[in-house]
Amino acid sequence: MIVNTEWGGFAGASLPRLPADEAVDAASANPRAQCFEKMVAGLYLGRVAAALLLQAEAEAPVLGPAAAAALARPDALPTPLLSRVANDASDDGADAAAALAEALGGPLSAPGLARCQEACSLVTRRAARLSAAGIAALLRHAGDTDATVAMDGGLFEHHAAFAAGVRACLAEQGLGATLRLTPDGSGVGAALIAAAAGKAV
Amino acid sequence: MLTWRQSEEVAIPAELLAGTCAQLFAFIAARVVAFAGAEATGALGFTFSFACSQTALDAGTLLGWTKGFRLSDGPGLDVVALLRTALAARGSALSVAALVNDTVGTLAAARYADTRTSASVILGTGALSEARWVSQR
Repeated sequence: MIVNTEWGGFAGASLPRLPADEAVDAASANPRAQCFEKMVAGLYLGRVAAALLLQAEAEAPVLGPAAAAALARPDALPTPLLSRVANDASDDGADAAAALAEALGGPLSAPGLARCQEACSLVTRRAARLSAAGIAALLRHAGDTDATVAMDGGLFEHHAAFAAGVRACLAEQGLGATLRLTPDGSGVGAALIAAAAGKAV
Repeated sequence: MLTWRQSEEVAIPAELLAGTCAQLFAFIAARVVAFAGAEATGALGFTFSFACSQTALDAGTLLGWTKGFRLSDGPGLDVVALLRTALAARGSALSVAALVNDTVGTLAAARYADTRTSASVILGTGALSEARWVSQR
């Protein structure tokens, strides 16, 4: 038997929510639903980062009004951009700076760049650790902590810091699970199942 | 053995995320037929990445839209029937043989290559649903 957990809908006291999460939820197409999904899915990560930056800007401005106005627009930080910022580990953050300048309509100050990088990295790290928590819970519940787990999804495939964060957290938890990227697995799998169904008939 | 594979990725236009099921599935069917060819026959597996109440291998009703989809209808509708209707409207002889949740599809694909696989996880960027066509070759 295969169990589909639909863990995107998980919510509860063990899942702490930030004001940024409340803001993203309220502006979403399905408020008060899919709480866990809105903290780990690529669709929302850029929105959470933008909400964090707007909150921080209100308390201690470093970005300036033009950048803040840009951040307040829907999907000001698309996930590929967040990924690019979070994955720039260089000393000068030149690639991150270029990406953000384009998104926010102008170059950022050094403190502004640092804050954006931190927001993108924090959101990535939280999403990775929450995802790892879900995987760990699944494997522990199944009594199969050394399982081979098939992975798919653009976030895991293309956001290196995210995937590394998931793996590191699982290792930290003492789980020997192997995460195997299965690109386009969902599509190939549907075709295989359809083919098998055809043979069975 | 998987001997031949061809794929194309298509983004769903933003306006279809807030339209009707008929419009969305008409688009999907059109792109499937464009990809597979108007004369294509054979079994089609439908990966649908939204929670469904699945009653048979080839039947499932949508429970609700997530991931930014906000169509005016959908919940309570059989998504296989929707795709079949849309394909028939284009005169396609493709046969929807299986409705598959994306994590189940990934699990099947991974186990096909490595039978040690026992779980699958999708950590995705956004919301694309896709149909995959299996040739009878």
